[in-house]
Amino acid sequence: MLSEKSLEAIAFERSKYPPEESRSALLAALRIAQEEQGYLRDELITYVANLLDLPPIQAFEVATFYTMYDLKPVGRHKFCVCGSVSCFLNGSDRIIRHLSERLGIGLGETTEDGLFTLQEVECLGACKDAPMLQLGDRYYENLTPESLDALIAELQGGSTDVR
Amino acid sequence: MYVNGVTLKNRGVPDSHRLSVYAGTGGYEALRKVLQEPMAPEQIIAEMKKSALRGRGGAGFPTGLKWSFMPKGVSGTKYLLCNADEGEPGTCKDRDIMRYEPHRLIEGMIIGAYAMGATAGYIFIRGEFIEPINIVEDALAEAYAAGYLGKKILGTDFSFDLYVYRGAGAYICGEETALMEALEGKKGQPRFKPPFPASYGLYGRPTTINNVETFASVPDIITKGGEWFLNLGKPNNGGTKIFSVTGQVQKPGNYEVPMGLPFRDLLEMAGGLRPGRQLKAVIPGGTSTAMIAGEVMMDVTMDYDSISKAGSALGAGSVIVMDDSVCMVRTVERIARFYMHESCGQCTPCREGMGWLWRVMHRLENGQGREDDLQLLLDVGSRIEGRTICALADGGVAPVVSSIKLFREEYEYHIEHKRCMISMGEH
Amino acid sequence: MPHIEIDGQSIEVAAGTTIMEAAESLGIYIPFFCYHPKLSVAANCRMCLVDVEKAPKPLPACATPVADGMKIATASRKAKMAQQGVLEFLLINHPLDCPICDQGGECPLQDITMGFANPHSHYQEEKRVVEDKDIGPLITTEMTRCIQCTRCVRFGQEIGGIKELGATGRGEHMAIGTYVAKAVQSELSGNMIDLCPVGALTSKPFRYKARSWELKHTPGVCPHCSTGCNTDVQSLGKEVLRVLPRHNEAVNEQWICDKGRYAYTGLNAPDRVTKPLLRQKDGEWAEVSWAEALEATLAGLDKMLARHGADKLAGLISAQSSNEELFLFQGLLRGLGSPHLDHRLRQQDFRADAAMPRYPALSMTLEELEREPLIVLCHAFTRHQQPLTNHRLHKAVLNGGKVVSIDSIHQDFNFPVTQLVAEAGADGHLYQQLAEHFAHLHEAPQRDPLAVLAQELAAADNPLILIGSALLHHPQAADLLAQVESIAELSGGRIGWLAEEANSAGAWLSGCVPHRGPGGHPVDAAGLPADAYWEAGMQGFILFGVEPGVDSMRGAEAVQRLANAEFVLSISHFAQEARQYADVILPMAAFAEGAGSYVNNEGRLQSFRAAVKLPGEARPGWKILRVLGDSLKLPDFQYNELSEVSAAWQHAVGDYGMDIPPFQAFPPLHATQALPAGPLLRLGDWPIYQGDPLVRRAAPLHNPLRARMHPQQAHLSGIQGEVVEVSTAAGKVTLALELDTHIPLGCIWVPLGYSETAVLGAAYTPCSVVMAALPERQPESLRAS
Repeated sequence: MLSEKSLEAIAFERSKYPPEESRSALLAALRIAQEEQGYLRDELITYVANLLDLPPIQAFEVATFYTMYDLKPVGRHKFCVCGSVSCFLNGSDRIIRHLSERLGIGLGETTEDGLFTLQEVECLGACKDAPMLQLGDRYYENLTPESLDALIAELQGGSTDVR
Repeated sequence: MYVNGVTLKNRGVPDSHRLSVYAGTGGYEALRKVLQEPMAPEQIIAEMKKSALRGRGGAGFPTGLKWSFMPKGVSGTKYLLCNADEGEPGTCKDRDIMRYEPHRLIEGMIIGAYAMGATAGYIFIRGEFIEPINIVEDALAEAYAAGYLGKKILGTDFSFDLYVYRGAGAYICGEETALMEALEGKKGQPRFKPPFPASYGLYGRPTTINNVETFASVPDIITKGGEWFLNLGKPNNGGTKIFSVTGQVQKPGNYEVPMGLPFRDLLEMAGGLRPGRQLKAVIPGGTSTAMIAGEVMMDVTMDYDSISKAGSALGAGSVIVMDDSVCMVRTVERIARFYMHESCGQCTPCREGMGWLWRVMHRLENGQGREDDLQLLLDVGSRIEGRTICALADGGVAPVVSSIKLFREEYEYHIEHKRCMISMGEH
Repeated sequence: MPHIEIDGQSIEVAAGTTIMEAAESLGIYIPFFCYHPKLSVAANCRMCLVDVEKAPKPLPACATPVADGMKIATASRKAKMAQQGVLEFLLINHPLDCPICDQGGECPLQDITMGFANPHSHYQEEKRVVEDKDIGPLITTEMTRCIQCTRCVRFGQEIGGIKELGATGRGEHMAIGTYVAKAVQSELSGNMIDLCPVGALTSKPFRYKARSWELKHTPGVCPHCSTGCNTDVQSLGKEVLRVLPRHNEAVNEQWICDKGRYAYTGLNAPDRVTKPLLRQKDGEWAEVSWAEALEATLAGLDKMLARHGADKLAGLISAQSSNEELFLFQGLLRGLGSPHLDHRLRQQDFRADAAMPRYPALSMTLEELEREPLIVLCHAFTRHQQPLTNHRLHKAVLNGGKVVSIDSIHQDFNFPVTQLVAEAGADGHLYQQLAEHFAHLHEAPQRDPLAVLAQELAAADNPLILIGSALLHHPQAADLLAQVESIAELSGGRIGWLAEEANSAGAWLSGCVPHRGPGGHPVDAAGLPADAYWEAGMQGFILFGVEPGVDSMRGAEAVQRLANAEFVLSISHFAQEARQYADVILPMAAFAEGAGSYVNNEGRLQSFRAAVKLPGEARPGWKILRVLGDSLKLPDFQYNELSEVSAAWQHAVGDYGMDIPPFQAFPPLHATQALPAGPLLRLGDWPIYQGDPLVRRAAPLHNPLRARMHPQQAHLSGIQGEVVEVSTAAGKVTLALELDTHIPLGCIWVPLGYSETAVLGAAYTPCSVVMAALPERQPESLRAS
């Protein structure tokens, strides 16, 4: 169900912990599985649990507790806009509204072409650079409608620099 | 004044995250001193006590004292953990330490491990911090290659392995026992204490955990002495501290300044308020700390004791500045939403109470407030406070209760007029 | 020892005692939900907050250890405010559907609300609704009522080995359940219903049947295994509506297994007999009066005895029968002159009979079992055979002990067990190898697990070796027993027996074996053992509570012999099987309908009373036997009261200790009994819910009938589908196949206890397996709906 590369990455994660504590690698294994397959469907979660010799419910507990796991399909680019207080005080609502209008989707929704998902998230720990969002493995900070438009254009152009 | 002189010393230097840059500015000298002089573990802990360094994660517990709790002479592994699960709204300092000074953190941890006899450690970084994670991972690889980590460090009998552990999205993992649960591959639900981590921590083993900034303060304390560090600040509030000044200031940012700096000066460093604005209120230590009215704040100095006297807490030094354009009800509704979202769900008052508080706040903000809502918020808050395993719920109550106390007329206006007294407009 | 004060009362308690425990010992009640003395402390409900002097905040009594000089107030203003506050939070999202909730009347949330709540709730927002998932036929979920105390989850993890249940989501979305809908697979699952402090988990079979306060409670003893769990049989009018555990720390603590909890649902099976039945000349069955039935019985017996003699009369009795019934039964057979009586329908090899102990005794108490450091299970899958004895083994492991299982297949234990599995049919070889390793103990280091076990056994101080029923079912039982005995000798260990059924011990003590009378005294002329009756041309049978067609190793052969016998009397609760061969069926009291006593695996004598009235014209078993004996003019059958029979049993059995010699002089076994060879070996035993007539009829307890085979073996045998035809010398059957790595290569596992598989004959016989298609018509279910 997972590629050799992902399995190797999971085995590496396991090696960081005492042998009897394979459960410690669970969060990482779920992340690796999600990175490869886009989101965590039930069978994938069960598969990961079996990989680590854990009862599947333990993996379901973890997958449903942490917010970085996607249990449903998401777009290729997931805008996670911070809406916590420092960003809020610097206009995060306006950022969300702008994205929503530009992409034609509401919070938690994905564009029909499967390219964009829009989410509001809680504090991402970059409060001094508010308003900001996370996209893939990067933070985009001090956002303005103009910088968002430029970003969207870049992504629609198929840029590979941004994930 | 000693500004940006300890934990963020090299910020701004190109490639400050590289070992070569760090070593070129005296990096790993402290470790050499400790291992080659050598300094006895007791000596290190004594120096830490002298420095009056207090935990920079928010609770402000004296670091030297904490280190002395680690049991001696026990067989088996002892663990040292770093809490880099920075996530309380307003807090963004550890991210910068990891981006600009990863080796300072790593060196501090190695010294701590030596002082406490820990042989393995994990840096628990929140999963969203992918850039800092990569930087710290690279720095670890450099440190291993240079012989600062791994077996027989610098040719001594001391060995220490250090890894990065990536979180997966949960503020509660910043609570130290929740962090340990997460590290064990479980949901991050805080443990009931006692037992405390020093006797029963990660995998049930003796464990010490400190914040990123705390560890990053260690190398300079060792090289320059506890006395030196103490004197940077003021008694019982030793050293410098990073304040993340965010919200409605002109130059938001991380400012590392001596403890005891007047807030007035800090505000000025952060560029002051926007033109024409008045200071309305400040949350001095992250959203879990009580709000302080602007006029009171202007006379407060930035240290544990002074802020505590003003009725709040220094917390992680996360100073959220609000000017007079802010609708307090709308702002607090947003803060309440955070705590509802981040409650782990195990304790009844928190699981049920955080949502209740937010729902009432949400009604108020949306013009559906009722006459007895303010009393209700205070009552519900009083039934939550002090009745849960960890402090998350208390943190969720503080902004609600403190804002009602300070800005009651704004709340009442919402109830009476079904709208905001201060429109934030198309905010 | 810390000295503390609670509500003004002083007490000295051991260090480490919690406030909750200290308060309990003073008789001071502190309300709680998540706390449970048998589970780990979660301290999450916050209901037990109390006021501790000098503590800034109220502290949870369940988790706070006492400290010397502590002054605690459980009902001060501060404590009460805390408790009221928590209760209000618990109730804001709890539906007020008490009128339609089965928990009503026995609901801690309801009770504590009455006792501790502020009558006025301030909550005016919307209430939460939680989606329900089907978790199987035993437990109804109504998760909107859940208060997230996690008792069920902790029970699953810490006691039941239930790996399916957890708490998913976080914050106010935290929900207890299986996440993916699936049946909870645990023989202890029903205990979660008892643990649930609200109506989130309730009994599915009991749903909407009655209110708890309407029920009559009768103390019972579970008839489904030798642990002898104490039960509380709850009934309304003539119907048993549920069975719950009765607290007895020495036996079952406060648990029972699902077999004991739900088997009662079989009482109303469609073939329940409530009137005497008599086979007519045309072969049809007619309901008749007791007088007519007894007359026919006496006539039939007379005629059979006259034509064939008492040596052709045999008696088979269930080991679920009471001591009183067993005692009368042996008196009846022996009084009629027949030495042929037995309760061991599943056994094939009786060569060790002379060596058998007086009764199959654990040789220790169940509580002592928890403290054993090394336990070797010999063909004993305790998890399914004695679930709560198994729990003691689980606790032994939690206490640092080690459990090793030697068996024909890998078993699915719910705690860590080292398993040594014989190669196909080579069970004897495995024990023999183990014994041989004792000659090479000092050749370290050892890697062979058998060698390691020999070393551990030799090093252990008095290890415990427990013999399970599957060892006795084995065709080479006597050889295996002899080997186990020698291993015990070599290791200086003790032997204990895991008795198979609720009153196996009583059956031996009462004299329901062919070679010993009451008290275990040898009889002058030993009769034949059960397995021999089918070949020995018996012409008369008295069956008591048994269904030889599914209760014996060679079921089909048994039914055929019974059908060809001249006279068969079946004293039974159920008629389906007996209709095939009996001449008279006498309706007998079933579970909860009669009184009597059992001897459990420890040797503990426990009695039980009737909970409900007898259905129709059914009569208690002991009365039926008494009337028969009396009518046949046999001596010693003039009893009027059960207590008189009990006294006679006591007198005849005499004293018997709990600690008995494991073997009497072991007879020399001249040659090892060889197993016939074949392409594959058919293994099998009785599954957990097929073991006795009542449990086989309990609809919510269901073992789907499947053959099991190692995937590699399936491949080797060229089997690709999910259906196989299994053939032995005795017959063939088509079955669903499950691939299962627990089964060794060279074998197929086909369970016993089903009428469908009875045609295959005994286990451990050669067979062949080919792919097949499922038969179109499924056999009619016996289970009550």
